[in-house]
Amino acid sequence: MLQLIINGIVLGSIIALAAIGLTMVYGVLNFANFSHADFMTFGAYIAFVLNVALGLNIILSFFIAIAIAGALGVLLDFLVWKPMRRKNADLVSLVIISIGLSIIVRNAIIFIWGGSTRNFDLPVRRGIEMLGVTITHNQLIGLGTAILFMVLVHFFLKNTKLGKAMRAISDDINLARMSGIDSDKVIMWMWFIGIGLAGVAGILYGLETTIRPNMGWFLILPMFAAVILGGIGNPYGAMVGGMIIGLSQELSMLILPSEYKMGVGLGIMILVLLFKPKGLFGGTKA
Amino acid sequence: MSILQVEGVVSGYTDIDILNGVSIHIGKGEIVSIIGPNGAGKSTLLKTIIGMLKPRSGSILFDGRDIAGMTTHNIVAQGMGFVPQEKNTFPSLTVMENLEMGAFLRHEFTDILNEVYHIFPVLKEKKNHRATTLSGGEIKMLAMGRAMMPEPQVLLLDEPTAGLSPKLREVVFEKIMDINGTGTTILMVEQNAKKALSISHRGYVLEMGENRFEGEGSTLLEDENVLKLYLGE
Repeated sequence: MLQLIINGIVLGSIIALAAIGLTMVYGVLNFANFSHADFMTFGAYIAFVLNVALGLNIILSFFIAIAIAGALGVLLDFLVWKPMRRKNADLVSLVIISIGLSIIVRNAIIFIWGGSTRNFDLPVRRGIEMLGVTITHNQLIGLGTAILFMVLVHFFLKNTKLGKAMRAISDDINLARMSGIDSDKVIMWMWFIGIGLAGVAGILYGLETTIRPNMGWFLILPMFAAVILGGIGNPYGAMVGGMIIGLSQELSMLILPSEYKMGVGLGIMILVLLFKPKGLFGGTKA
Repeated sequence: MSILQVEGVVSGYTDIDILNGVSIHIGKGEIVSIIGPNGAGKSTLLKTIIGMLKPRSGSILFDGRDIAGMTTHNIVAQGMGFVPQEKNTFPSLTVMENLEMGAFLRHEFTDILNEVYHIFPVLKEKKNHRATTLSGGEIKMLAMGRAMMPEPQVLLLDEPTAGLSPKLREVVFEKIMDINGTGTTILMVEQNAKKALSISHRGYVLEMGENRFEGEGSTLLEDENVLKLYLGE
């Protein structure tokens, strides 16, 4: 039981971190970005290349990979999302584009690195045993890093001008423009931070499990569940929602076979949509 | 010398033109009201001036520069402010954060913040409350306060008293005169036409996307045609 709680918190923190960017994009640009989780995978593979193929230190690889993932987010905004905004593309088109993008990213990864699983080059260390539960070093590092990044996101949103502008744009993009905010510029930064955070989550997930081409894709539905649970457009809601989904998935193993883990997140998502469609904490969109 | 001069503007939404060649001019320091029946294009005119809608033809000169077709945030940067009728605050942000967003383009805003607090004391009291917790009247105050933060030369107000009680309407009209007293030129669209004209230097009557009448506020209030057609007498 305690072991499941710990595993749940670790998984939850990864979902939470990745869901921040997903909910911000959903809140501001009004579409469900199905390609979001594949940038988790992308971030993990870039870190893998830097760490294993180029032999860089894992911490350095980590930061460079985040920056590259974020930069790819910005590049795609310029190449795809911004032109679509100019054309006032409807929601369904955007969702379909994002699904296509997701397939492209995943298959590009398989094309370049193959379909087999990979691991970071790290010394194998024994986990810490306490009260009959085991926490691996990687879990501890993952959890610490995830919490650190969530605190950073909080500080950024509450205390910086750009962070406040992001919240303002998420509330009402037209009013933000009328306040003199250059929305395209803020959206560009939103992509950088959102996809960068997905990269962080992907690297941490790869650290705790293995790096494989569909590692992100299998997390997209729990991530949407977290976003909807927390209220679309609400980054704090996404963080709490991620934790709840991660915990419920792991704890469900007490009563359900583990194959149904994924179903639990979806079940929660459906219940929220039925009974509390604005999410637990209220989103910026209905 | 007009600070804002709209010449023959044609504008509207994707398929339809709402404005069919509207021309208005506003002098520095004036309060100018635009009245007219529903669907006359009053709000469309304000949205076109602030760049939410692009004019199909005509020119909009702001302090001598043509701003027609510029993006909204650039027009705001030139010194234009806008208070929409609805959706005029950021609900999840605090009162203080709303005002800060108003001052997005400025580095320093202590003086104007104090002035806004002076005109709207309730905003100072509730500065750490989220906008979503404010009453209807307080939201209007915050919306006007937010728009004042960049110290715009011209402030556009879309139906500033819509949905307010008669008492609050009086308060809002007083605040509009206070804002004008700080040297800000005001262009407003108002349903409450009589009261609006009575505090305005000049007014325009818009109908079917065209100017019908224009004149001093007091003259329009006494004009028989205007009275009959638009003031409900």
